[in-house]
Amino acid sequence: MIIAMLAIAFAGTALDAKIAALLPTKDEEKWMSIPWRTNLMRARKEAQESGKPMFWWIMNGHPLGCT
Amino acid sequence: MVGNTHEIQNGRNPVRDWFIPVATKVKPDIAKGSTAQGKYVIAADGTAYGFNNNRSIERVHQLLDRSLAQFKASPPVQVAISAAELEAKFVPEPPIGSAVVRLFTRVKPAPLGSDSANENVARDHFWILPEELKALSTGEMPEAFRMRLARFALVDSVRGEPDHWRPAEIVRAEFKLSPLRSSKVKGFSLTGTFSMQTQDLKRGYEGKLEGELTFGTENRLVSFKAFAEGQAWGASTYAPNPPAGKFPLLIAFVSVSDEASRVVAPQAVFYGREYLTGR
Repeated sequence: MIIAMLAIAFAGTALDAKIAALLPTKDEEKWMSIPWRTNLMRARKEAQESGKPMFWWIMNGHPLGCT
Repeated sequence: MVGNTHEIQNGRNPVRDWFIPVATKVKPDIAKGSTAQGKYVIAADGTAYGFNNNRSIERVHQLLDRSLAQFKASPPVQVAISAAELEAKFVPEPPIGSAVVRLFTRVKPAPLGSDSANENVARDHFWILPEELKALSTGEMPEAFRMRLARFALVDSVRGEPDHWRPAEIVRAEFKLSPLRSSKVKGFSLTGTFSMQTQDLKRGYEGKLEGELTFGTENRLVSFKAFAEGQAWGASTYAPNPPAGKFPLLIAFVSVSDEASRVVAPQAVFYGREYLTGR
Protein backbone atom coordinates (compact mmCIF):
# COMPACT_ATOMS: atom_id res chain seq x y z
CA MET A 1 0.00 0.00 0.00
CA ILE A 2 2.76 2.40 0.97
CA ILE A 3 4.81 1.46 -2.09
CA ALA A 4 1.77 2.02 -4.33
CA MET A 5 1.38 5.48 -2.83
CA LEU A 6 5.07 6.22 -3.34
CA ALA A 7 4.84 5.07 -6.95
CA ILE A 8 1.92 7.39 -7.58
CA ALA A 9 3.77 10.26 -5.92
CA PHE A 10 6.76 9.72 -8.19
CA ALA A 11 5.07 9.93 -11.54
CA GLY A 12 6.32 13.26 -12.87
CA THR A 13 9.91 14.27 -13.64
CA ALA A 14 12.91 12.30 -14.89
CA LEU A 15 14.14 12.13 -11.29
CA ASP A 16 10.75 10.79 -10.26
CA ALA A 17 10.93 8.12 -12.97
CA LYS A 18 14.36 6.99 -11.81
CA ILE A 19 13.12 6.70 -8.22
CA ALA A 20 9.92 4.92 -9.23
CA ALA A 21 11.90 2.32 -11.19
CA LEU A 22 13.78 1.36 -8.05
CA LEU A 23 10.80 0.97 -5.72
CA PRO A 24 9.88 -2.58 -4.67
CA THR A 25 7.38 -4.43 -6.84
CA LYS A 26 4.23 -5.99 -5.40
CA ASP A 27 5.95 -9.37 -5.28
CA GLU A 28 8.88 -7.85 -3.42
CA GLU A 29 6.50 -6.44 -0.84
CA LYS A 30 4.29 -9.52 -0.27
CA TRP A 31 5.79 -10.20 3.15
CA MET A 32 4.89 -6.64 4.16
CA SER A 33 1.21 -7.53 3.80
CA ILE A 34 1.54 -9.42 7.09
CA PRO A 35 0.47 -7.13 9.96
CA TRP A 36 3.81 -7.38 11.79
CA ARG A 37 3.93 -6.08 15.34
CA THR A 38 7.07 -4.18 16.29
CA ASN A 39 6.76 -3.83 20.06
CA LEU A 40 7.56 -7.03 21.97
CA MET A 41 5.80 -6.24 25.18
CA ARG A 42 2.62 -5.07 23.49
CA ALA A 43 2.75 -8.16 21.29
CA ARG A 44 2.95 -10.27 24.47
CA LYS A 45 -0.17 -8.56 25.82
CA GLU A 46 -2.03 -9.06 22.57
CA ALA A 47 -0.96 -12.71 22.35
CA GLN A 48 -2.14 -13.36 25.89
CA GLU A 49 -5.47 -11.63 25.33
CA SER A 50 -6.09 -13.50 22.07
CA GLY A 51 -4.90 -16.89 23.35
CA LYS A 52 -2.31 -17.25 20.59
CA PRO A 53 1.45 -17.83 20.49
CA MET A 54 3.74 -15.28 18.91
CA PHE A 55 5.82 -15.86 15.78
CA TRP A 56 8.99 -13.85 16.18
CA TRP A 57 11.34 -12.99 13.34
CA ILE A 58 14.45 -11.20 14.49
CA MET A 59 17.29 -10.53 12.14
CA ASN A 60 20.68 -8.83 12.05
CA GLY A 61 19.24 -5.76 10.34
CA HIS A 62 15.56 -5.04 10.99
CA PRO A 63 13.25 -7.13 8.76
CA LEU A 64 11.15 -4.06 7.98
CA GLY A 65 14.16 -2.01 6.94
CA CYS A 66 16.61 -4.46 5.47
CA THR A 67 17.08 -6.64 2.41
CA MET B 1 6.47 -9.72 15.60
CA VAL B 2 9.67 -8.47 13.96
CA GLY B 3 12.76 -6.92 15.45
CA ASN B 4 16.43 -6.15 15.00
CA THR B 5 18.77 -8.61 16.72
CA HIS B 6 21.20 -5.78 17.46
CA GLU B 7 18.59 -3.95 19.52
CA ILE B 8 16.96 -6.96 21.15
CA GLN B 9 20.05 -9.01 21.98
CA ASN B 10 22.62 -6.32 22.57
CA GLY B 11 20.50 -3.54 24.02
CA ARG B 12 20.11 -2.80 27.71
CA ASN B 13 16.39 -2.74 28.24
CA PRO B 14 13.46 -4.78 29.62
CA VAL B 15 12.83 -6.26 26.18
CA ARG B 16 16.28 -7.87 26.10
CA ASP B 17 15.95 -8.96 29.71
CA TRP B 18 12.75 -10.83 28.87
CA PHE B 19 13.54 -12.18 25.45
CA ILE B 20 17.07 -13.58 25.78
CA PRO B 21 16.33 -16.12 28.55
CA VAL B 22 13.26 -17.23 26.58
CA ALA B 23 15.17 -17.57 23.30
CA THR B 24 17.98 -19.47 25.03
CA LYS B 25 15.55 -22.26 25.88
CA VAL B 26 15.32 -23.18 22.19
CA LYS B 27 18.70 -21.82 21.03
CA PRO B 28 21.12 -22.62 23.87
CA ASP B 29 24.23 -21.28 22.13
CA ILE B 30 22.95 -17.75 22.76
CA ALA B 31 24.34 -18.22 26.28
CA LYS B 32 27.80 -18.66 24.71
CA GLY B 33 27.51 -15.42 22.78
CA SER B 34 25.97 -16.71 19.58
CA THR B 35 23.53 -14.53 17.67
CA ALA B 36 19.85 -14.76 18.54
CA GLN B 37 18.93 -14.13 14.89
CA GLY B 38 16.13 -16.40 13.72
CA LYS B 39 12.47 -17.30 13.93
CA TYR B 40 10.81 -18.26 17.18
CA VAL B 41 7.39 -19.35 18.37
CA ILE B 42 6.91 -18.22 21.96
CA ALA B 43 4.05 -17.49 24.31
CA ALA B 44 3.39 -14.42 26.43
CA ASP B 45 4.41 -16.31 29.57
CA GLY B 46 7.86 -17.07 28.17
CA THR B 47 7.25 -20.65 27.03
CA ALA B 48 9.34 -21.31 23.93
CA TYR B 49 7.85 -23.77 21.45
CA GLY B 50 10.30 -23.70 18.55
CA PHE B 51 13.14 -22.03 16.67
CA ASN B 52 14.87 -22.08 13.34
CA ASN B 53 17.07 -19.76 11.35
CA ASN B 54 16.12 -21.11 7.96
CA ARG B 55 14.27 -19.18 5.28
CA SER B 56 12.83 -22.06 3.27
CA ILE B 57 9.06 -21.95 3.09
CA GLU B 58 8.87 -25.64 4.00
CA ARG B 59 11.02 -25.24 7.10
CA VAL B 60 9.06 -22.21 8.31
CA HIS B 61 5.76 -24.08 7.85
CA GLN B 62 7.20 -27.05 9.76
CA LEU B 63 8.23 -24.73 12.59
CA LEU B 64 4.77 -23.17 12.74
CA ASP B 65 2.90 -26.50 12.55
CA ARG B 66 5.07 -28.22 15.15
CA SER B 67 5.02 -25.26 17.51
CA LEU B 68 1.27 -24.74 17.25
CA ALA B 69 0.69 -28.41 18.10
CA GLN B 70 2.90 -28.05 21.17
CA PHE B 71 1.15 -24.80 22.12
CA LYS B 72 -2.20 -26.57 22.08
CA ALA B 73 -0.83 -29.52 24.04
CA SER B 74 0.87 -27.29 26.62
CA PRO B 75 -0.85 -23.92 26.68
CA PRO B 76 0.79 -21.02 28.55
CA VAL B 77 -0.36 -19.58 31.87
CA GLN B 78 -1.64 -16.06 32.37
CA VAL B 79 1.05 -13.62 33.48
CA ALA B 80 1.10 -10.02 34.53
CA ILE B 81 2.69 -7.60 32.06
CA SER B 82 3.42 -4.33 33.81
CA ALA B 83 2.79 -0.85 32.48
CA ALA B 84 6.53 -0.22 32.73
CA GLU B 85 7.21 -3.18 30.46
CA LEU B 86 4.60 -2.02 27.97
CA GLU B 87 6.14 1.44 27.82
CA ALA B 88 9.77 0.23 27.70
CA LYS B 89 11.75 1.72 24.85
CA PHE B 90 14.26 -0.44 23.02
CA VAL B 91 14.49 1.11 19.58
CA PRO B 92 16.81 4.06 18.99
CA GLU B 93 14.74 7.09 18.14
CA PRO B 94 15.80 10.04 16.00
CA PRO B 95 16.38 13.37 17.74
CA ILE B 96 13.17 15.36 18.01
CA GLY B 97 12.62 17.40 14.89
CA SER B 98 14.46 15.00 12.58
CA ALA B 99 13.14 13.91 9.20
CA VAL B 100 13.38 10.31 8.04
CA VAL B 101 14.34 9.24 4.54
CA ARG B 102 13.90 5.67 3.26
CA LEU B 103 16.52 4.19 0.95
CA PHE B 104 15.96 1.52 -1.68
CA THR B 105 19.15 0.06 -3.12
CA ARG B 106 19.56 -2.23 -6.11
CA VAL B 107 22.22 -3.69 -8.33
CA LYS B 108 20.53 -2.82 -11.57
CA PRO B 109 20.82 -4.47 -13.92
CA ALA B 110 22.22 -7.45 -12.03
CA PRO B 111 24.94 -8.89 -14.29
CA LEU B 112 24.14 -12.25 -15.87
CA GLY B 113 25.54 -15.12 -13.88
CA SER B 114 25.91 -13.16 -10.64
CA ASP B 115 24.62 -14.55 -7.35
CA SER B 116 20.82 -14.32 -7.07
CA ALA B 117 21.17 -12.19 -3.92
CA ASN B 118 22.20 -9.37 -6.25
CA GLU B 119 18.59 -9.19 -7.41
CA ASN B 120 17.40 -8.15 -3.95
CA VAL B 121 16.09 -4.70 -3.13
CA ALA B 122 17.71 -3.40 0.05
CA ARG B 123 15.96 -1.01 2.43
CA ASP B 124 17.34 1.32 5.06
CA HIS B 125 16.56 4.63 6.71
CA PHE B 126 18.53 7.83 7.03
CA TRP B 127 17.86 10.52 9.61
CA ILE B 128 18.20 14.17 8.63
CA LEU B 129 18.88 15.89 11.93
CA PRO B 130 17.13 19.11 13.00
CA GLU B 131 20.26 21.26 12.81
CA GLU B 132 20.93 19.86 9.34
CA LEU B 133 17.39 20.66 8.23
CA LYS B 134 17.82 24.23 9.44
CA ALA B 135 21.01 24.63 7.41
CA LEU B 136 19.62 22.84 4.33
CA SER B 137 16.58 25.12 4.36
CA THR B 138 18.90 28.07 3.71
CA GLY B 139 20.74 26.33 0.88
CA GLU B 140 23.75 25.46 3.01
CA MET B 141 25.35 22.00 2.86
CA PRO B 142 26.17 20.99 6.45
CA GLU B 143 29.45 19.15 6.89
CA ALA B 144 27.91 16.49 9.11
CA PHE B 145 25.14 15.81 6.58
CA ARG B 146 27.69 15.50 3.78
CA MET B 147 29.81 13.02 5.73
CA ARG B 148 26.86 11.04 7.06
CA LEU B 149 25.33 10.71 3.60
CA ALA B 150 28.62 9.46 2.16
CA ARG B 151 29.48 7.11 5.05
CA PHE B 152 26.13 5.63 5.94
CA ALA B 153 23.78 5.94 2.94
CA LEU B 154 25.92 5.56 -0.18
CA VAL B 155 26.83 1.93 0.39
CA ASP B 156 26.03 -1.51 -1.09
CA SER B 157 23.54 -3.18 1.26
CA VAL B 158 21.87 -5.35 -1.39
CA ARG B 159 23.14 -8.72 -0.19
CA GLY B 160 23.23 -8.05 3.56
CA GLU B 161 24.57 -5.77 6.25
CA PRO B 162 27.20 -3.50 4.69
CA ASP B 163 30.52 -2.37 6.06
CA HIS B 164 29.91 1.35 6.23
CA TRP B 165 32.66 3.69 5.06
CA ARG B 166 35.27 4.98 7.47
CA PRO B 167 36.05 8.71 7.22
CA ALA B 168 39.44 8.00 5.63
CA GLU B 169 37.71 5.97 2.91
CA ILE B 170 35.77 9.00 1.64
CA VAL B 171 37.85 10.09 -1.37
CA ARG B 172 35.28 12.59 -2.56
CA ALA B 173 31.79 13.62 -1.39
CA GLU B 174 30.96 16.93 -3.01
CA PHE B 175 27.31 17.90 -2.75
CA LYS B 176 25.70 21.28 -3.25
CA LEU B 177 22.27 22.87 -3.19
CA SER B 178 20.90 25.27 -5.79
CA PRO B 179 17.59 27.12 -5.46
CA LEU B 180 14.72 25.61 -7.43
CA ARG B 181 13.35 27.73 -10.25
CA SER B 182 9.87 27.93 -8.85
CA SER B 183 7.94 30.74 -7.23
CA LYS B 184 5.44 28.26 -5.81
CA VAL B 185 7.68 26.28 -3.49
CA LYS B 186 10.80 26.96 -1.50
CA GLY B 187 13.27 24.32 -2.39
CA PHE B 188 16.63 23.29 -3.71
CA SER B 189 18.06 20.88 -6.19
CA LEU B 190 20.79 18.63 -4.80
CA THR B 191 23.67 17.59 -7.02
CA GLY B 192 27.05 16.08 -6.49
CA THR B 193 29.58 13.36 -7.02
CA PHE B 194 31.13 10.86 -4.66
CA SER B 195 33.90 8.31 -4.49
CA MET B 196 34.57 5.95 -1.60
CA GLN B 197 37.04 3.06 -1.44
CA THR B 198 38.85 0.91 1.06
CA GLN B 199 42.58 1.37 1.51
CA ASP B 200 43.29 -1.96 -0.19
CA LEU B 201 41.05 -0.87 -3.12
CA LYS B 202 39.08 -4.12 -2.87
CA ARG B 203 35.77 -2.36 -2.26
CA GLY B 204 34.40 0.95 -3.44
CA TYR B 205 31.57 3.00 -4.86
CA GLU B 206 31.76 6.07 -7.07
CA GLY B 207 29.08 7.98 -8.89
CA LYS B 208 26.75 10.95 -8.85
CA LEU B 209 23.81 12.13 -6.79
CA GLU B 210 20.81 14.21 -7.82
CA GLY B 211 17.82 15.22 -5.78
CA GLU B 212 15.34 17.78 -4.63
CA LEU B 213 14.33 19.19 -1.25
CA THR B 214 11.26 21.33 -0.63
CA PHE B 215 10.39 23.21 2.51
CA GLY B 216 7.14 24.57 3.93
CA THR B 217 6.38 27.11 6.59
CA GLU B 218 8.91 27.49 9.40
CA ASN B 219 11.45 25.62 7.27
CA ARG B 220 9.67 22.31 7.78
CA LEU B 221 10.88 19.70 5.28
CA VAL B 222 8.01 18.84 2.95
CA SER B 223 9.80 16.47 0.64
CA PHE B 224 13.24 14.92 0.12
CA LYS B 225 13.86 12.80 -2.93
CA ALA B 226 17.18 11.79 -4.44
CA PHE B 227 18.82 9.25 -6.69
CA ALA B 228 22.38 7.97 -6.62
CA GLU B 229 23.87 6.01 -9.46
CA GLY B 230 27.35 4.73 -9.94
CA GLN B 231 29.69 1.79 -10.10
CA ALA B 232 30.42 -0.32 -7.04
CA TRP B 233 32.79 -3.19 -6.46
CA GLY B 234 33.78 -5.63 -3.76
CA ALA B 235 32.10 -7.39 -0.86
CA SER B 236 31.33 -6.44 2.74
CA THR B 237 31.87 -8.85 5.63
CA TYR B 238 28.18 -9.83 5.77
CA ALA B 239 27.33 -8.96 2.18
CA PRO B 240 29.37 -11.48 0.18
CA ASN B 241 29.08 -12.62 -3.44
CA PRO B 242 28.96 -9.33 -5.30
CA PRO B 243 29.04 -9.44 -9.08
CA ALA B 244 32.51 -9.74 -10.53
CA GLY B 245 34.35 -6.50 -11.13
CA LYS B 246 32.43 -3.24 -11.15
CA PHE B 247 28.64 -3.29 -11.18
CA PRO B 248 25.86 -0.66 -11.39
CA LEU B 249 24.54 0.30 -7.94
CA LEU B 250 21.48 2.56 -7.68
CA ILE B 251 19.97 4.11 -4.55
CA ALA B 252 16.62 5.92 -4.30
CA PHE B 253 15.90 8.23 -1.35
CA VAL B 254 12.34 9.19 -0.39
CA SER B 255 11.11 11.04 2.70
CA VAL B 256 8.64 9.02 4.80
CA SER B 257 6.62 9.35 8.00
CA ASP B 258 4.93 5.94 8.38
CA GLU B 259 5.18 3.53 11.32
CA ALA B 260 8.23 1.76 9.89
CA SER B 261 10.07 5.08 9.79
CA ARG B 262 9.38 5.49 13.52
CA VAL B 263 10.32 1.97 14.66
CA VAL B 264 13.09 0.96 12.28
CA ALA B 265 16.31 2.81 13.01
CA PRO B 266 18.97 3.25 10.33
CA GLN B 267 21.32 0.29 10.02
CA ALA B 268 24.29 2.48 10.96
CA VAL B 269 22.74 3.82 14.15
CA PHE B 270 24.82 1.34 16.15
CA TYR B 271 27.81 3.60 15.41
CA GLY B 272 26.34 5.75 18.17
CA ARG B 273 27.55 9.31 18.22
CA GLU B 274 29.42 8.83 14.93
CA TYR B 275 26.10 8.33 13.20
CA LEU B 276 24.98 11.74 14.35
CA THR B 277 28.20 13.62 13.67
CA GLY B 278 29.62 11.80 10.67
CA ARG B 279 33.07 11.41 12.25
